[in-house]
Amino acid sequence: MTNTPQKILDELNSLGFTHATGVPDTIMKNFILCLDNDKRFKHFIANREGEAVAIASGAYLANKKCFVYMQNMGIGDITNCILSLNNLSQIPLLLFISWRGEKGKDSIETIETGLKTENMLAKLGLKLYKFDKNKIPALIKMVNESVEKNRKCTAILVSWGDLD
Amino acid sequence: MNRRKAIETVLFRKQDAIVFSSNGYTSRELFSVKDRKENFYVIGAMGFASSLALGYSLCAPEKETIILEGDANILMNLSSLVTIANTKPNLIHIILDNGTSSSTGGQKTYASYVDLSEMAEKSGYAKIIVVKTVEELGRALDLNKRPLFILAKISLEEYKKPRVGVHPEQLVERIKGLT
Repeated sequence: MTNTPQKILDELNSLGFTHATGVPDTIMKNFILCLDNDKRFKHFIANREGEAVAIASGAYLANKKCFVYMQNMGIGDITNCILSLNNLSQIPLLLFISWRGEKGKDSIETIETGLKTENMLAKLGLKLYKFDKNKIPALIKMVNESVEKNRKCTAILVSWGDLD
Repeated sequence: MNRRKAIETVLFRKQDAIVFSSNGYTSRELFSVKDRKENFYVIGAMGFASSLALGYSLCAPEKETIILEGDANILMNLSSLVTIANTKPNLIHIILDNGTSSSTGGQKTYASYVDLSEMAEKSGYAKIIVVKTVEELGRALDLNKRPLFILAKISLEEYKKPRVGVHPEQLVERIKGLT
């Protein structure tokens, strides 16, 4: 049976994604490992989340589909790009954002961010979806449509264990 | 060499290149020298013009891509040097260095105290060159190693420049039409 990360990558590939960039997080460890071994994607590690958003935006300008992965602790770092580049210029992106501190449980430095994650992303104008491993193809298709038709940056929130 | 002369030299030597310019006076000056569909003015997202250009270049390696940014801009996103040097794009990274944040009133930056060209070298750029005149800049642009880092020392002279007169959504459409 195909594992969860592979199912996600298969669906992204079928929708035309060829590039990926992001900042690693433990929740995404297996996903990133799969991505690194998948020759259908060119993968570039970024040093910070804003950089990843800008790299993926540059890919969009070259007519390539590049998704972003990052931890919710990096929401502050993407704020300037999202507000004054992506929203302003209508450069829509698909982001996988791991949800540390969800429901107030996790290491202490993630708790406040975890509780405010949905609010912060909504304030940035991102459309949000919650990951569901039982609906991978349908979910990714729906998110891709949100990105392409509504031209809005759209995030899939992933929790501990979602991508194992 | 002032900013305008430097930008004129770049556009004259690299007529087909895609140019990403950072926010503030760099974009305004590029727009006022010559608006062209290959110009993408990054009027927001301070510090991220280099990352945007990197993403473009990695996805369109057949296009010669140029970053034009000020010293304050690169200082804001220094890790970009490391990412660019190690992903080896077909990029020319030009820093227009006057040691100040001109667009916000000429406050001094740390660029006067640190050597940005050494940072680029240690990060792993294929070639690094420091230029002070338009002739030196012209010769540097002829070098064919990539990524190429050019630290262009420019004068402090300032004058009123118009804001970029193309809407960001239009900028997106026209650059997307080139690949």
